[in-house]
Amino acid sequence: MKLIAVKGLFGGAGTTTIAANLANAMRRRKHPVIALDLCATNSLRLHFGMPIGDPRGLFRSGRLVDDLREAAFETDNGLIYLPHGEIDEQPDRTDIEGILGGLYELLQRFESPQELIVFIDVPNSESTILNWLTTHAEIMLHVLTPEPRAYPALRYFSRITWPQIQHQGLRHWLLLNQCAPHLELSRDIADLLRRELDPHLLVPTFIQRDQHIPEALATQQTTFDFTIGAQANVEFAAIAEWLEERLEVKQ
Amino acid sequence: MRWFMQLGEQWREVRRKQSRLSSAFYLFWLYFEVTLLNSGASEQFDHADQRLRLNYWFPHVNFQRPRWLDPIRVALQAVWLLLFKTQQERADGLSQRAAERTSILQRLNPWHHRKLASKPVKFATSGFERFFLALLGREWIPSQTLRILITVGAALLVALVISLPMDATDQGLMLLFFWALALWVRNLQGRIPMLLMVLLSVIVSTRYLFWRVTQTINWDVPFDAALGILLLVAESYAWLILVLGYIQTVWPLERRVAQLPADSSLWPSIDVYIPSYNEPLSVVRSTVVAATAMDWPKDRLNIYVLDDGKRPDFKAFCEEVGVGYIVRADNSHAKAGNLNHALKITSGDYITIFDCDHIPSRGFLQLTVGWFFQDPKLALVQTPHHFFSADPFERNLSVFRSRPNEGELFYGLIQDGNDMWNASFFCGSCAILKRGPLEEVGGIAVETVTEDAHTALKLHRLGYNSAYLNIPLAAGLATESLSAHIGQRIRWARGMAQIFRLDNPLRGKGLNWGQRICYANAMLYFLNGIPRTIFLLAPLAFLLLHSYIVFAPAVMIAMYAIPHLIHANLANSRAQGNYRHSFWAEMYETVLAWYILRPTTVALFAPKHGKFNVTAKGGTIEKDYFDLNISWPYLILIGLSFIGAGFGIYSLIYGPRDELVTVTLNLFWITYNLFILGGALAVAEEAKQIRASHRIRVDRPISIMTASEHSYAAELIDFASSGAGIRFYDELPLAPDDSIHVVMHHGTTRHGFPARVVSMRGLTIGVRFEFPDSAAERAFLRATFARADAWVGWRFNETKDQPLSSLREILGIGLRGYQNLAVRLAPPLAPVLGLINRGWGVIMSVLPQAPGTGEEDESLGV
Repeated sequence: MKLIAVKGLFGGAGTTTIAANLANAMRRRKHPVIALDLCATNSLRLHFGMPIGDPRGLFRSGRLVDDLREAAFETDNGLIYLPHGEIDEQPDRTDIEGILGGLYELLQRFESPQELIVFIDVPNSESTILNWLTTHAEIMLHVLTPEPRAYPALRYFSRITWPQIQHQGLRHWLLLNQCAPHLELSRDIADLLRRELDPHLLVPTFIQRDQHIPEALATQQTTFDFTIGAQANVEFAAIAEWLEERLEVKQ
Repeated sequence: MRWFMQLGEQWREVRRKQSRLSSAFYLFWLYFEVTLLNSGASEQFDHADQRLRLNYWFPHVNFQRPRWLDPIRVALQAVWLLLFKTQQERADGLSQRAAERTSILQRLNPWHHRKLASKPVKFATSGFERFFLALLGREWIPSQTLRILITVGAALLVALVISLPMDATDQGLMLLFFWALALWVRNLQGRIPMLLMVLLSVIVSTRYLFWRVTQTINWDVPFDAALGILLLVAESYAWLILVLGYIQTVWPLERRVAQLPADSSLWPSIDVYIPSYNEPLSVVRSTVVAATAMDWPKDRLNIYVLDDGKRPDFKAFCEEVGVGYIVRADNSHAKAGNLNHALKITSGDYITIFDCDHIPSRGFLQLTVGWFFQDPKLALVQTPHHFFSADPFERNLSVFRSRPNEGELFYGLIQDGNDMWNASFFCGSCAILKRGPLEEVGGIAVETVTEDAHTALKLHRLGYNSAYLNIPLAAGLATESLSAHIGQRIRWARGMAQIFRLDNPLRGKGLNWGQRICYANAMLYFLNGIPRTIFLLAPLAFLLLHSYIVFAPAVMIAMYAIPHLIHANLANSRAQGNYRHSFWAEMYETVLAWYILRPTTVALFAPKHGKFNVTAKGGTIEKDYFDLNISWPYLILIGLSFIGAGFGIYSLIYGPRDELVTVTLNLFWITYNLFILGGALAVAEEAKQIRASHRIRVDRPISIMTASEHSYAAELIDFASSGAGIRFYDELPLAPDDSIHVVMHHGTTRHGFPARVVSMRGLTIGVRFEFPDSAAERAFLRATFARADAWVGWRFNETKDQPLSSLREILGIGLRGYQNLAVRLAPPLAPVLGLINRGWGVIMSVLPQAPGTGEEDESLGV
């Protein structure tokens, strides 16, 4: 089992959308894929068409389900997604590690002929989850957008967050989202980031601003199902292929 | 039920665009594709494999627009695909076998290769290959003395083979043996088999010439002797050019890029000169902007437009983009004078020269300057002149990018061969020169009209070296019409003849023998006007004047001349086949022959005459026309040849029996001449050229962002400096006149360029760019014309030369020339010929075609 954590460098970077569509792109490459939502906003499922009023999910009244079968849903093309579940109050912070340990066990029981790939939508504010993922995940993708606020966020990231998330076997990449090649500011910041960051730290493909992405969410589909010709699909497919190489699961 | 509803929905969707019948066909084929190839839109998205599309397998059927004969086309094609191997499959098989062969060769096992050949042949061939590989592998004659002895012995043997008199049978047997040898090694890899073929060709041709000189002049009849000697002189010239050409190109250097020092503070300062005289700003603009976008430290890169036209709009433009603008008081010595004037004003360590239409790619300097650090005596690095528009031959014969063009031989092979002898020369543009040596020879030469080659000659005489880097790093416009093309060639021919007289490379100091041969060949080549005209007229000497200019029995002529032609063709096809296909040279040279005849002759006797003419570029040709001014000499030659052929046929029927073979031989010759002359006519039929800016065909993923910020994946199919053609993959979400952004990738960055949709058809749109400022234009050039890899792999269709199919092509072109002529002479014939052509076209369109050869959509932009 390979865990890929998708995490935003700041709010609104597009983490959930990217986790959903990358999982879908990976599934289209015939891997067994699970999309797992750890955000209490519970919005990952919406990309796969689950009705918004449906409360089912991993957590029920603050407790983790006993059997994954109660929380797992499958899309038409065989992707499995685990919604966070509707909760009334934040779960008890003290026991998050225990919950995650239990979840990991449940996931390990999941049988699949090939290596299972789990995309995790990671909330921004939970340091406990981040710590746990640091020791368990294989790849962490940090999503950011080429905007002025990326700069202070990166400074904070490199000074504070970066030392905390180092662990043997965990690799980090930054993924640029919502690039607007027709706008000078967006282009310049993207160029600047590329120049200043270690080139090995950037995912070579970045995601262009594309109105298809929010529209797909509005109709509760992945962008691939929404508009096959959208540029975003080309990029998600390219990143999925790139991830395949990084994870050494090329088919 | 659900399926039916879906079908109904699709039907309504399609019916909005097409008639009932077309819609039915369209849906039928769509379902056919999905069931037959098991592929829908999703699979096609995942695999860029063309073979998942029906269009790949049925390239001659347009499934969007069905025609009546399509069922027949599909049926025939299906049967053909089932029963026969396609060329691709055969090629795959061949390369597989070749791979097997090499691996077997490594194990040196003679028994397991070439399934078809008999055992002795197999054994001999593999032995041969091993022998050649061994030759390449090591110094196989260790001692110098032994080497000289072997050379002398071999030379004596060759001399004996050349001069030994034989009767027809023995001659035939010997040449059959040579021929078999040449055919045998023809497909063996490596340069040693090529050398063997060249050697055979030289021996056979020299033997032929020796025989001609010693045995075939009829001294008893003065008239015949005079004509005979004329032909002999022409043949000697052809032999000389053949042999010198072999020497020049036998071992191309294939120089690689030299690294620059890692520390960019060591990089020299460079002046870029862009001379212009009367070219429109629209042409010069891209060159200047692209030059400013070259990768080089900005404080050491100075660009100057040298404007001999002294135009105010040029001055304003140069100020706008921030480059130097230089004018001078007079226009003496044209381009050379212009460059020399600038040389006095600027001060960079190196001078780079681009003709005003040659758009440099951003890597030009970084890839060329390195060699100057390797070799302190290096004075010149030349790169190929690459053209992104069709030259008149390519345009008028519709062979753009499908056959090697006329310049390909020179820039692909000859300059590379010259480089081996340290004799590659300056071609006036796309080159970089060192200031010191250039000033030492007094700047660019002004004594002749080919100042470039002459400057290089002077540099070589002073002991400086030159280098040729065979990577297209700049691209420009080819000459726009046949008359302009001929004008340019006349200038080259005249200039080369001038140098030959004023500064003969065979004499004087400072050159090695290789350089002398290469320069001499470059100059002698342009004297081909007279010999070629003689060859065109020669068969008439017998057919019209009944003069035996080759005084020998027809059988002997055939025994000597045919092997000479065949070997020359085989060796040239092997040595040059990738750069010029067999028989095309005949047509190129025939078109020029008449025109360079006079200026070269004049220049040989009065070398100081003649002025510089500027080659017109960037123009348009509004409609098809036939350039009579150009082709009248050929019409006369054709007229004479037809009369000759008439007489020939007459004497074939009513003439004396003992002349039959001679008449037949001459008839073959004259028919060949007629086809070549027909080709010259076909070239003179100027095809229209409407677009002011030329479109570069590419095949590159881009994306389109609509005004609503929807991004679509798309494919750039062509671009020009002002517009582009773009194909969408799945649906076309636009309307004419929409504002969009075309997002292109260059390096790691992406740039969206504002554009407007000007035309639409199917999934293809044409757009016109609307650059907000010159920075955007520069970024656009960097992403297109000036991309570092813009012209790499440009010749996508690298077809190997196949002499017989080349011959067929040339014959076809010749026929086309006569057809055009017939229509010009007798317009009422046009409908008849049109009908024949259409009928032929329909028949051909029904026949099976190789998969994947379908025509691309025509572009629609402005």
